[in-house]
Amino acid sequence: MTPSFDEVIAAINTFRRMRGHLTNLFLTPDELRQLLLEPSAQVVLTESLLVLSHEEDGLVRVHFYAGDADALGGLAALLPADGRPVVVDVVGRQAQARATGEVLARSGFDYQSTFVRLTARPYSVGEAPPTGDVRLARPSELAEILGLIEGEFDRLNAHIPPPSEVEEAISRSEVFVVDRGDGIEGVAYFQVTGPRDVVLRYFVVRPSSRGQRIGNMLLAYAQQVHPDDVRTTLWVGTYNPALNLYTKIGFAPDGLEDHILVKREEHSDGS
Amino acid sequence: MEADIVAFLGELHPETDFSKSQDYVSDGLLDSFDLVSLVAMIEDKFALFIDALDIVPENFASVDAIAGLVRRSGGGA
Repeated sequence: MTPSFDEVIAAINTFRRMRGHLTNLFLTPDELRQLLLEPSAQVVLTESLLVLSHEEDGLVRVHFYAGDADALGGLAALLPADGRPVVVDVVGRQAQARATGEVLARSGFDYQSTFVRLTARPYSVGEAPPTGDVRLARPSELAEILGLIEGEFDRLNAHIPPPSEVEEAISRSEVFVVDRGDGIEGVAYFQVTGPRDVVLRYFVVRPSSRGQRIGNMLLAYAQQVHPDDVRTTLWVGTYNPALNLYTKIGFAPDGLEDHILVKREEHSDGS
Repeated sequence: MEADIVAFLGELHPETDFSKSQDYVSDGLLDSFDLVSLVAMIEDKFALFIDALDIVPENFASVDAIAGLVRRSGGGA
C-alpha cells in the first residue's frame, strides 16, 4: 500500500533525527504533496529509507531520504529496472553533496555530470558590446526558442523547460534574444526571483553564431534592464568550457554543487 | 537568539544585506538549499528539532519569523 502524505512526513522526521542522514529532497510540504499526486509517482518506504520516484520526459527521477549511508546504499535495488534511465540529482553544499554522491557511486550509480552554482553581483563583460540587436522575445518565437534550448541541453543533464514555462517567461519579459535579421542567434532566459535577484536559467547561442560576442550582447543587455546591484545566479556544468568564461567576467562559485548520477544498467549475467 | 540567527544568515550569504528585505524567500535572498542549511544550523545551536511540516518559506521570511519558529520548536527563552 502506498504511504500517505502524513506517513511520508513522519518518515522524513524519523530519518532526519538519525545521525548521518542523507537526502536530495528539498521540497516544501506543499511541493511534496503535489509530487505525491503525480500519476507516475511511486513511493517506497523501508525502516531507514524513503524513496520517491516519478517519470519526467521518459526518465525516472528519484528523491530519497536515508537515515544513513548504509541505508542509501540500498537505493538502487528499490528502483525500477525497465530500461528507462533512472536519474538521481544530488544538490547541496559541496562537502555534503560530494559525500552523498560517493555513496551512490559505490552502490549502483554512475556519475553523469557535475554542475556548480555561480553568482555575481555584478558581472562585467568588459568593453560593452553593442546591444542594438538584442530585444525581448516574442510569443510567436516560442518554438524557435525551445528548439535552441533542446538542441543545447540533454534531458539527463538538464531540466528542459515545458513550453508553458517559456511562454510565461516571455510574457513576463524575462527572455531576451539576439536577432540580426536571420532568425534568433542567441537566447537568454533570466528568471527574476526577487527585487535584486535573477537566475540565468537558459543561455544558448546558436552554434553557427558562436565567436561573435552574441553571449556578451545578451549579458550586457541584461545589465541594462536589471537593477545595478542585482545578484545573478546560474548553474554550469564542470565539463562546460563556458565555466572559465563566467569566472573571467566576475562569477564565483557559491558552494552549491549538483551531482547527477544515473543508475547503472543491470546485465543479464548479473554484472 | 536573534543575534545567532543574524549570524547564520551572514554565514550563508556574507555579501547580502538582509536588512533591506521584508521577506527573505520571496525576495530571492534565501532558497530551498539555504532553508535546509539554516534548519541544520538552528537545530545544532539550540538543540531542538524542527518538524518537516514547519520547513516552509513563511517561517524563514525574516529574523522574527525564524525566531518564532525556533520558539515554537522548543528553543530559546
